[in-house]
Amino acid sequence: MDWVALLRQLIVGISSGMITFLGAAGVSLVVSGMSLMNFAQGAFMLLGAYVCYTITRVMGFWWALLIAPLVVAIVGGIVELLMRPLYKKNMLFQLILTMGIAFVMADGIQLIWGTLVKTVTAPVFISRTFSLLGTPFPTYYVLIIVIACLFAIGMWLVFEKTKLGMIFRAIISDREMVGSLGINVNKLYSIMFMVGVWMSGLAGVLIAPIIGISSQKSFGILFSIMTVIVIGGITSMRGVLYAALIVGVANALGSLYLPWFYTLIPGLLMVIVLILRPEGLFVRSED
Amino acid sequence: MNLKVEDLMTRIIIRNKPIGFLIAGVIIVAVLPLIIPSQWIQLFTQVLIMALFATGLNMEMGYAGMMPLGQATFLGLGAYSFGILIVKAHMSLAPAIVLALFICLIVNAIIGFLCLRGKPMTFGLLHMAFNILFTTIVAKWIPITGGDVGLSGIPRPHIFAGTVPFYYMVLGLVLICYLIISTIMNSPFGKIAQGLRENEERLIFLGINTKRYQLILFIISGFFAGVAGILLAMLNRGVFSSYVQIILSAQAMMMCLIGGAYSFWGPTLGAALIVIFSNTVSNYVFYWQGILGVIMIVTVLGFRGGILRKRSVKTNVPDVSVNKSPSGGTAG
Repeated sequence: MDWVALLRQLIVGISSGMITFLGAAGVSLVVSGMSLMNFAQGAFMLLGAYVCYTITRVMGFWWALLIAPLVVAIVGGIVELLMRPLYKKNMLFQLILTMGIAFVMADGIQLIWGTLVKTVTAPVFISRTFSLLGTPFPTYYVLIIVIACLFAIGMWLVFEKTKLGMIFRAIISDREMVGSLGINVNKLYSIMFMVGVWMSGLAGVLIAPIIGISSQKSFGILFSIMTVIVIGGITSMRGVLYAALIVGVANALGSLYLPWFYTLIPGLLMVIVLILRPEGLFVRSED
Repeated sequence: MNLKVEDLMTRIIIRNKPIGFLIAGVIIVAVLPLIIPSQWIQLFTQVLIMALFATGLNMEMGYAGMMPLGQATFLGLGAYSFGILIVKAHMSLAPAIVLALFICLIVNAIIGFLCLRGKPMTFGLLHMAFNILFTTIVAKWIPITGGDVGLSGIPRPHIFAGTVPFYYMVLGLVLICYLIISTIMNSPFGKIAQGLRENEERLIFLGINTKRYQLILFIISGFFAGVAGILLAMLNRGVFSSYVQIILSAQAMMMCLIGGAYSFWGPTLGAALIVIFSNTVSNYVFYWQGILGVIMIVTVLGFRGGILRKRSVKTNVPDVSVNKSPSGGTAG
């Protein structure tokens, strides 16, 4: 067995798992805070990648890493205004709304950027490889892992240590109480949705240099987010992280050993988890 | 107490349009191919098939209040299993249809079981996830499904091979299916399905296994989608990847919503509007998906009742609150 190839696939798997985690964490945050399933998350991620493409051509990749997620978050803030009339209505209408938004965004992206597949080139020194044990490793994948880890730690700090994080946690556990404390819940929902979408924008920027960006990919991306959410447990951020890593690594190793089958691995994992533990692998059962 | 339950039932019952209306409609639809130019008959056949698809979907969505976001899976399942049996396994027409419908039922049951494992929100999520999964399989498994090109060379039954006879065949089949659906929805089973929408918790307290009813409804609804898929494959003489695309699921939901999801004929009306509109628009504009998205957003924001909304539901609202208060009392 080729250990080096295995190790390299492991890095690729973990990094793609981290990217999926960023997208899925946004969905999970919005679901647990607002009881709103955002089917447009894949489209937002794609928008992040396209904005990254444009900004990279003008200003360079590092600026794109900073600005593109913010642009996506602003678009998300506008979209959130559309959802406001539906918060107390049947959930079906919210789902159809986010689906419609995903369609509009996919075609809107196509209208702006065209149908050709776009590629983003990362700055020279990170698109190189570094050598370890005499074999080359792609630096960019390691960078993704580092950025995503920093982000995860940052999110954890925001959640546990700041006032905003405290209010977020409060609204997840008891929405009406937060409202009656005199906090503007509508504004909070806006912020929450924008944070969730900002995460997907970041994921989109990170994924941009390693895939060919095409406007038809939004539902494929959405599927990888969905599988991870189902496996990890829909409202458990930590479960989503573990699930994303598992799926990412399984996918990467699968592409090494089962090249014709590996696109089905996430779906298969999802089905197995649904049979064994329908509420998610990493959710503690409530007593 | 009996009276009150009955009040509730009359509120949530879906009364069909008066019978005269129905007969007039059937006559118009039956005479239509004799009047309109022949190139339109194909389009109207498609309207009928999509109407069946949407009405089947509405059993889940409008009557039972479930969230079937990926119904195209089952249309595609019917069409593809039928197409593969004919083109790849060289079966003759009748056994292929029977076997395809059988495959539909089995796979429906499996997917339905998996989708119903979680909470209501997970149901919608999984329904859509299976749709995307199925799309991926169709796109990747090229030796069997033909990938993006699809399978062509699906025959129609000999007697009904022409455009007009095929129209009448579809019309007849769709009417039979409508009869079955309306019988199911007006039976005690259908009443429980509507109860699922109105107050699932109460049904659980009554000792009804709601999951099982949802699963049965899921299978029936998917079965009619499979029938529609087979008819669509015959209509276009081929099976194409557009039959499983998620945009078709969205279109079907929009047919129900625009026509009126709480009425029996709403999805049919919606199907006519959406199919004719989409065919017209896609002749001129490339961005049908985005336009459909805009339609979805506008409908959901401002037009949730649909065209055939039941006005009686609105006027009866005070009665309902009277009905509900004793139940609240007993629950508390």
